[in-house]
Amino acid sequence: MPPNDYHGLCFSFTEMSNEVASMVSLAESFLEENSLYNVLPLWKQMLVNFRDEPYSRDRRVFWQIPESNPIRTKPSSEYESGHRRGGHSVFGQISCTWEISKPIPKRKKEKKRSFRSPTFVVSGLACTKVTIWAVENARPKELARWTLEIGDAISPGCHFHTQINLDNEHQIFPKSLPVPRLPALLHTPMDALDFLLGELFQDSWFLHASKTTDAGKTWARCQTTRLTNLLKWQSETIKNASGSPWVTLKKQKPLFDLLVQN
Amino acid sequence: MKGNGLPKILVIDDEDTEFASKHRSKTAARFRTLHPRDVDLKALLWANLVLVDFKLDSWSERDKLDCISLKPKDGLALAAVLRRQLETAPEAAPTAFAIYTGQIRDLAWPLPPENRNHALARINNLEWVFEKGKDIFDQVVSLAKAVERLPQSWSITGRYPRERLAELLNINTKIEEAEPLLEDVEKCLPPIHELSQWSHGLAILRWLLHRILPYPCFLWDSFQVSARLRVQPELLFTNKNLRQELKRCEYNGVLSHFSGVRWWRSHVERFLWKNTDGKSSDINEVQKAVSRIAKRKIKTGALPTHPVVCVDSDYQPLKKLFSAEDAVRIQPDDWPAYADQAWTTIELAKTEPSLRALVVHEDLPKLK
Repeated sequence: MPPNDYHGLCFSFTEMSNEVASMVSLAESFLEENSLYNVLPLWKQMLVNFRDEPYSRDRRVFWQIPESNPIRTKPSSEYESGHRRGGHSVFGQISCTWEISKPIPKRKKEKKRSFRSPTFVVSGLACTKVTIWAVENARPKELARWTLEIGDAISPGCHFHTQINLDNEHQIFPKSLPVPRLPALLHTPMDALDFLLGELFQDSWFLHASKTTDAGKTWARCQTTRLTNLLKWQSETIKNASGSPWVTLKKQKPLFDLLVQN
Repeated sequence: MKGNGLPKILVIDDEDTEFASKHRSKTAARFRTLHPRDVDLKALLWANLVLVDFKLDSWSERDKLDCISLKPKDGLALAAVLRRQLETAPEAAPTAFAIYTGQIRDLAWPLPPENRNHALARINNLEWVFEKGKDIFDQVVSLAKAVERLPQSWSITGRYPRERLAELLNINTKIEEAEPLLEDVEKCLPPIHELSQWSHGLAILRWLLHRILPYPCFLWDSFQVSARLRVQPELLFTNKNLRQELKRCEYNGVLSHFSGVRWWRSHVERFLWKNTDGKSSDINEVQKAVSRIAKRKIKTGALPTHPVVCVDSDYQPLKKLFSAEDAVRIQPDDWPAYADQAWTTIELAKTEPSLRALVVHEDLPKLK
């Protein structure tokens, strides 16, 4: 799709709420209490509040988990699989900002004040930041950092990508150099959490997330729909590429309702 | 729906105690007092609420009988007998039964009696347990009024149950704010289908009394609201401006004020959302908004950044708010899964064995 035909990416309010709720339940024993009982519920509530607001043209909301109060995992030295233990005791943090709006109402019933749109649109900033920290001498020290991003209409690079941007004091991956944008499959903040927990708790997260709990099933359903649609779209794009499949994929913008298609 | 007449309260007492005589002249409800020997079906059919004294010692006719099946030992036993009489009467409307007692310890034993009226009522098939000597008049009338508002019969077809529930809870289904409220309510499993049909809607009142009002879920008490607003709980009552603004969030359906003021959680969140322009998860924005509304600078220095409400061994909320770091999660018996997590302080959990026993396994290391 040409960039000027891109109008953002649509997500379902209900599915996103379910995603957050199920991940909170699933990740309960891996997250700090503040994350479970404060950060995540408030963040989910923001989405609910925005959903329940009457539609207003040009209304955009930053649906965010601030860096000052991020999701935080419990400490772990289980980032090596098997019985090996890592040399660091580390914890992970996630913060995010998604600039969201509601789709423009088209049908008569959607224009009523009481109408609640089932979907929201991400068309601007959509960045999830993941960091890993070690506790040294009672002070946390950042060891790793990356972001999960969804592009916008004019963003170069793969629409769903991950980046590594360090502060200018570092010699490599400086902020002034926005490449590489590594293609990514995962794109929501809860995807990022799933990934982070899998990295920091290699075996125990796998074991836990594999159990057939209600939360696990709900999470699986939400993620399966999105990832399946995304992979199908990528597969079709590559099949239909006339030149380099990768370059074609890199330039493609997804359809508005890609992630909510049944 | 009904609800316009005075509620009718039948007091069954072996002695004409001060409750009945003290309140007989008040106009908020109609009272009748009968000795157990004088109770008939007509009297039961008249009442919205039957209030039965627990200790029934002055009942000579009963005491003369030999057959124990004919001798209800106390008010609990009598309430069960009378409830069954009503349930088999074809013309019976919903009627609540409650015990009132000055010996709640005897009734509660082996449970501790403090703040467990809802649990005692639930396990004894009652709507409530009232304590003599406490100021219970408003509660008694509130319960009777709630029963009076129930429909004569409760259908389970179509949208009837949901609409009747919305009416009882005073949710105006014509406004846009209704749907989020009803969604929150439905997550707390209201018994609006088979159970209510069978019990003429009494199951809804029991659900409110036993499973909703005592716990933080879709309704919040002043401690939960103050934690969310990051203010001291008393400010909700002492600051007129804040109280006035929050009035729109107050719950005013059946049994409102039965256990004190309650606020709709969803309304409080919406209130914060509007007043912070969508930044309701930012504590600084919340503070600014609350200070603006209260028309005074709110001092939050002494408050934890992300406070939780802790309870003591009687499950009473502590007046002070605590940080989650200074608290542990507990799992009291029968705490509903849909209610917010229960907490107590590390200090209390260390010193009170009854609380220590409830601490969730993952939080035990905090007590070392």
